Amino acid sequence: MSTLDFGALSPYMGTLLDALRVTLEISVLAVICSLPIGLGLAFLRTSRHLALRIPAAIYVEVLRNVPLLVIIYILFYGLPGYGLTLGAFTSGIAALTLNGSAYLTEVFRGGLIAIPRGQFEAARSLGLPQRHVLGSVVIPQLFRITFPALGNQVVGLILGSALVSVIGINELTHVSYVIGSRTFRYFEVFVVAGVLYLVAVQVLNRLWEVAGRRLRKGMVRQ
Amino acid sequence: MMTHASQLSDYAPLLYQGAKVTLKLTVLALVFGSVLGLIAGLARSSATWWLRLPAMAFIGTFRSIPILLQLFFAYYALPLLFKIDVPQYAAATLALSVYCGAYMAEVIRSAVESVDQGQRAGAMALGLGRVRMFVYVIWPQAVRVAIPAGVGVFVMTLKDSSLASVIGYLELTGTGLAVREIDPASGSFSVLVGVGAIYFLFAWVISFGGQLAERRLRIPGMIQERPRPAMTAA
Repeated sequence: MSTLDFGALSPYMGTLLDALRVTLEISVLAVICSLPIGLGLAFLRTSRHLALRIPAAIYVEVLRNVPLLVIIYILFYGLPGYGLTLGAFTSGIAALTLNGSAYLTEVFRGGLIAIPRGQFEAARSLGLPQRHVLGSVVIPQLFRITFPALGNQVVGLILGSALVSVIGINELTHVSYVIGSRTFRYFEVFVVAGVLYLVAVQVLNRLWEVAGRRLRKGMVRQ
Repeated sequence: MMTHASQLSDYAPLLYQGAKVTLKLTVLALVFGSVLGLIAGLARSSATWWLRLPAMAFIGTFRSIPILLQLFFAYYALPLLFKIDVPQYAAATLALSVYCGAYMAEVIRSAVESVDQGQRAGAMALGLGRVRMFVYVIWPQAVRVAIPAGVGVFVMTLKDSSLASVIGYLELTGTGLAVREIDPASGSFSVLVGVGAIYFLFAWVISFGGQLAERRLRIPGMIQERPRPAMTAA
């Protein structure tokens, strides 16, 4: 075994932490963009009308069954051929959003099915206009029901954000690779990067659990 | 469109070769990953702490670190650390198997835990030992619960095998990238969409296989417990 020297990384710790921040920023951006798309598609996916249901189903099935990496390459290398040039950052966020929104659609669809029909009927019989039925009755319950699954999707996007390193975005995985190739301390830098991911994901998991417990307290259960 | 069609036939054999490599890599990772996942999943649901804790650490760690970083670790760090030669396919198989195993372990654990406690009590009342209780009572029920989520892990592993291209392995995605670099006129878009379509096809076959297995394994008359949406008196 070669000798380990984590001290060799000390000049790079600031760079690694900056890269972690970029990773989290990309993930948060992708989550923010995915949420409304996933929510909208879930309503289409559960619509009574075939013309709305089918396109949403195709969107979800295609994006869940094609590797994120291939989607990144199609957006970054493929689209310029059609006169649409997105920068690396935009391509990365767009690919993560396409991917994330497809998974979120399925999560929200499951949640919509789980909301008792009586809730819709009661809201309507109270004379609430359609947008209030959604805004005040359906969507709040939907978020509570799907909250644990949403946490998994956020973690999925953090892990997925590592892939945008292939188009040169300086997030944690890319930066640790560059530092590794410069110092030849691959083992040390990948361990440090791995620990940073691990801590970020575990902290998010714990926070999500605590928040989920709070939310459940307010939920009427039978 | 005509030019696209003729060029597609030019590089179709290359993509076919790439697809075969992807398939081989995926199958290997699925076999190793499933075995690893079964062992780790059973250890994780064990009552024995020295089995449970290492399994928890394994699952928690490898599910919280991006597969790309794990792949980099296998390809760039392991050779330096152990002074061994790690070829691309070996690094890719190793990283994919471990990642698949960690996810499969969670599937196995939740499936085993989903089996009703009464089944254990019943098996014990019949005088079955721990091993026979598991083999004849718990596992046959758990494996049926595990299929849909297991199919999800299989599809994930197939898709993640595309990352092997990042360390220069010429599987399907790597081949697609090579084609677009060698022949820019091929039109990156059509090559890459073709690559995506092949993955889609493979994923579809896996899902179809899962549905087939579910149907074949279904026990007539046995109602599988599923969480039902709460019904309110409306």
